[in-house]
Amino acid sequence: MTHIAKLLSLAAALPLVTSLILFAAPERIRRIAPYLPLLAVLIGLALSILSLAYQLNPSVTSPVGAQTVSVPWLSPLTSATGPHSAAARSLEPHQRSWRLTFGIATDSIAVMFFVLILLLGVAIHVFSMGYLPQPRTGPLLYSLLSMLGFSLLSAVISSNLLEMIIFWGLGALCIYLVCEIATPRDAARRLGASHFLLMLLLAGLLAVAGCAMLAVHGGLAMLDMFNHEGHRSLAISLMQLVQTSTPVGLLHYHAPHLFWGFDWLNCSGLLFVAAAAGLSAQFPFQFWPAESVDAPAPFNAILQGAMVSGAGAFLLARVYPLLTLDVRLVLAIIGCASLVTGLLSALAQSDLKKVLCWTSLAMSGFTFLLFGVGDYSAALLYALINTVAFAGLFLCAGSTLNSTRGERDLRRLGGLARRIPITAGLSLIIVMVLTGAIYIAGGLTVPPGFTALYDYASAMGHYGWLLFWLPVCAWILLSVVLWRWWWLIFGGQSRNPGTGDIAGDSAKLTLPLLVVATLAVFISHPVVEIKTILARSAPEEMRAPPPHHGGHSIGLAVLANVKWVFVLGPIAIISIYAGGLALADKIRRFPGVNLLYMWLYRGMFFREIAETIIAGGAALAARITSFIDRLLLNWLLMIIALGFRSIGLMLSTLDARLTGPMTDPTCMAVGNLAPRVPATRKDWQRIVLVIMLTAFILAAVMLYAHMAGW
Amino acid sequence: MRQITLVHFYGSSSILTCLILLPVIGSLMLLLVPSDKMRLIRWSALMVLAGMLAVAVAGACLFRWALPAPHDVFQLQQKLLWIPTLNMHYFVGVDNLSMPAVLLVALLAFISGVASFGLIQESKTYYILLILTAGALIGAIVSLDLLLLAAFLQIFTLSGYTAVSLLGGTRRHTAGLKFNLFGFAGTLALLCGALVISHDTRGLPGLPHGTVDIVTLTTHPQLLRAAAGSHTAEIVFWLLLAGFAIRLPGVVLHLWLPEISVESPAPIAMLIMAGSLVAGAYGLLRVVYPLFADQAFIYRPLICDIAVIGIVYGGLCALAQTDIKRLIAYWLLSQASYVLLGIALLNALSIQGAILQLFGLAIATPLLLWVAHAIEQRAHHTDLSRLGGLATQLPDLFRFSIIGFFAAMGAPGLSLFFGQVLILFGGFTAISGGVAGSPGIASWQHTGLLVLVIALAMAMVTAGYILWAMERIFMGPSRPEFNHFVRLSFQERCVMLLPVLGIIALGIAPTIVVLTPMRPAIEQLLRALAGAN
Repeated sequence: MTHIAKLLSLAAALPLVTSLILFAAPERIRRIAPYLPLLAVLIGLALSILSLAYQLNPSVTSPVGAQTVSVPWLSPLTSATGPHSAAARSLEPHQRSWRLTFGIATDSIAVMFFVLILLLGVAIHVFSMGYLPQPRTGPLLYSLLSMLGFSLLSAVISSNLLEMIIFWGLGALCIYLVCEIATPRDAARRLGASHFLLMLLLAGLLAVAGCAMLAVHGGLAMLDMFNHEGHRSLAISLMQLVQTSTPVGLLHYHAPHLFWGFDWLNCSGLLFVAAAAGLSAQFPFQFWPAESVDAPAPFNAILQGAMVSGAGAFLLARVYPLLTLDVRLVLAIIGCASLVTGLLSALAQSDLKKVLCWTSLAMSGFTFLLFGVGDYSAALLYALINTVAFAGLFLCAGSTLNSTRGERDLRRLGGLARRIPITAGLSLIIVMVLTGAIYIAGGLTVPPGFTALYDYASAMGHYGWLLFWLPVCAWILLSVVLWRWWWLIFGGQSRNPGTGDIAGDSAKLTLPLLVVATLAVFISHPVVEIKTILARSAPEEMRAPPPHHGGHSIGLAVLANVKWVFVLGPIAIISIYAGGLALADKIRRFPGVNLLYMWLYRGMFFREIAETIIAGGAALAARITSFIDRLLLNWLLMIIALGFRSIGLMLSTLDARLTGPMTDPTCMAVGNLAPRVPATRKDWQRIVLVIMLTAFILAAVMLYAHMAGW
Repeated sequence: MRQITLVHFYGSSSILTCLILLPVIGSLMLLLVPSDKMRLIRWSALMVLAGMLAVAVAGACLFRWALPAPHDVFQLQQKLLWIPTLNMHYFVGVDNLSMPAVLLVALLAFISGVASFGLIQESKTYYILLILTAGALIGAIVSLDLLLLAAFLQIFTLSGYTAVSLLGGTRRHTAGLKFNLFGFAGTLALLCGALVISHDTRGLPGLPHGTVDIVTLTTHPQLLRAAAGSHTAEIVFWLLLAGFAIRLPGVVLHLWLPEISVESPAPIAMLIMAGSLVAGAYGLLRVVYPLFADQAFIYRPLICDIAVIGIVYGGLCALAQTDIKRLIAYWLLSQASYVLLGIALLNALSIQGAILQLFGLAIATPLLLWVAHAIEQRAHHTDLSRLGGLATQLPDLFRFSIIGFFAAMGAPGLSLFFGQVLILFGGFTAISGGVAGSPGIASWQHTGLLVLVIALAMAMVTAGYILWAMERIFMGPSRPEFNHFVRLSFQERCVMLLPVLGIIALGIAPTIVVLTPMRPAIEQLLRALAGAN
């Protein structure tokens, strides 16, 4: 085991030990419960920074696909050997044993995400200590938070796919429980948490199915390339996957057909894409993040940062060599659809957290899009930035809610920059990072990924251009959405009648914010070369974008000027909210326009007519998107659930005719512990009769068999 | 005059006989204790159950786990000719499949014994029946004679029936009678199958009186092929399959299950439901599939379809339940159908998945039933619509329940996860075999895929209703009427702790806990199936 592996495994084990201690601990240690996991995370952070130093040192850098530990975990038999081995082969055509190994990956992507999780873990943990009300923060909550930390850390250093899915699943369960325990209890929140968990479980199942399909069918030919140890892996060994000499060859791999015209490689690839889309709430699974807004802000930060922004992208990064060109096109379309619909929906929201939810899933869509068009390192860079930035923005939202006593309606906020200047400043920095105003544009060059988008679109031609134009428009929309969000909270005048109640910045809340904002700026800084470090996790030929095939002049002009988009957002928002208010006030005095204004105000929740006019079709499209999303996805899910339950009720009613009533009437009346009727003589008589009858029938059968000569 | 002849007496080890006799002797001793000395009865019964566990552990220590030779896999054997006219032997022995099952049942019996302390039904009769039920179950698992196995299963049925009918809830007579009727039908099916086998093997070389000896039939599969015509073999196959599927339970044959779950005293329900599952699946793996592998291959698609119907039926019925105990019963039906699916797929991976699923279920079911019982003890009902917010009022129970409910969902890292994963992998392999031209499955390729997709989708439905039940019980606003609830007692914690440890151990180290110890038996089973194919 290398030094990096030792350090990483120790850092991951610490939260596990803490979690187990707190799980078994009595409620009496409530006071010290938060400090134990914090200590574990801090020690883990120190260890992981050491391992990062090792990783960055060119002399000891792990090669691509480094895996230092390989412990057999599950090793079922495939088939027997012996006298019937020929027949055994027909029962099971593969003679090698199957195995699932537990391994630790120490490549750059694993170490980078590992450090990132611990840094965010420290920030979110400190924030939670200041944010969560004390009565709710028992040892169980911190035990679950520690277990969550362990799961996420283990997932990113997993060396095979099934191991990774197992740890993501464990993490999802922990997030669900944490949200359930620490959240005010109402039906809407419960619904959101359940949807979230079911979605993640579905994603896990899809990934397992993809894994199974790949392992089984792939074993016939292709996976031999990845298996150097003489056994078939139950899960794809991610490390061997990137170590193979011809990963790009998979793009054109001729796989045998599986069923209905599909080949197994495309099928498994699509299953992985669907799983990633489920994890990151991408189209068409984007219904759950907006429902989880009732959870406390730190848990939103985990949910949006760890799951929506990070998990799906990380899964895609790991299975990237398996994605064929067809699958990548699907991935790009899903990403583009999520990007556009997410931002349009964000524009229509008036809830402080819902805007962030929709924006984060939209930006996750941008990551998917970049994976689809083949810019591996840019996609990973955006995944990293999104993880940090949206975690930071949710913490900012938490700090704001802490000051405004839970007011989440953007129409009732405003002018908070004077009351909570540190939160306002730090959130401004993060907004600027996300919109490309700080560094991400690489000192006013084309933002990462856009060149690949342009190349891909020009290579596709025809409708393929949508994959360039839509992201460009979305990039402008992103700037507008995030600046609108910031301005409606912190800019202008206060629109809240209870302004007097607003509390100032709290040190416990702003200190973690400072860490996250600094981290966001640090990651997006081109000098740090995170992109280059991340790219080390894949072979050279895999991360290279497709060759340039030319294009047309308007596209090239847009590509060259997309770097200025970050300026458009603040200009639009300031012009709307600073000057537009007075203009709107003047316009709405006209009799006809007044009616239109009222209709727009009531129908679209836009306070200012100028904003509506400027936003125009986008606002309408956003409303339509939200409506469709709610109608088709949310309601559809509910209708399916109701349908299943109705069928279940029908079956149960039939079943109950034979097995007794579904709910015992006595149970409803006085409970199952109604005074028990002691066994009477009649009971005994009945039992003896039944036993004698049974014995008689058995004896008769045996006698008949004997007499019949059996 | 009945002549009892000693035919074989291998070695000096009679530990399995001790294991079978211990509950009988223990029950007789309990009969002598006056009924009013409840403390003495309670502790004596627990000592008997602990003694059974200790003997089982001693047997496991004597057992040679890594025995390479394929023909000597059954160890600790004892064989006596018992009823010559029926050619019925007292023949016991264990191999790598039955030894872990014996340990599991002994552990379940011990847990049930601990759980019985302070129960409202607690009485001398209760403890005697509990011990007899456990003893019969262990006897069935160690039996190597088909008639003896059927006899032990019938004793298990009768003792369970008596316990439920005497000590159950308000509908105890109906529940007990259904359990007895179904169990008896299962025994009759086994008996008829065994008699046909005995008849058909008569006169074969070396078998003048025929045989129902499982070891002989398993190690010489050509005997059955030579003896039974294909039509007779098919009938016997279905008889034996039905006989064990009743215990599992399979769909349609499950009608005894929900009422046993609701009406039985909790420890009896724990033992009957988990023990019956183990006995049913063990019978399929030990008797039906190795002896009738040809028929198993022929009817593979049909049995898989039946299993999936069970998965869907159980899952949907569970979704509609408002009573925790009935929900657990239908959940068990659905999950037991996964076991049947894994075995019926006849694939190396899926069979091992089925074994993992079986052990996972047998250890998770008592925990869930005990959680339901703990709630019932406090709330005086198990109606989901009248519960809620217990996470704050009963935090200890919540901690244990998290593990139980998540295990029931098939969550990663817990007992049912790897079983379902391997069944799924095995299913894909089976379809892949169809592609490769493996006989008997090529025509099943598309339907097989549909079956797997449905099984996968039902895993989501399972997660849905378990989650829903958990939220209805523990989440939501706290109810003031539950404020007086007392925390879990030490005894209640002990009952929950053992299954929780088992669930985690099976989830983390399935190979060490189950697959490696069972490897020789699995190899032998696969050899038998491969020979047929």
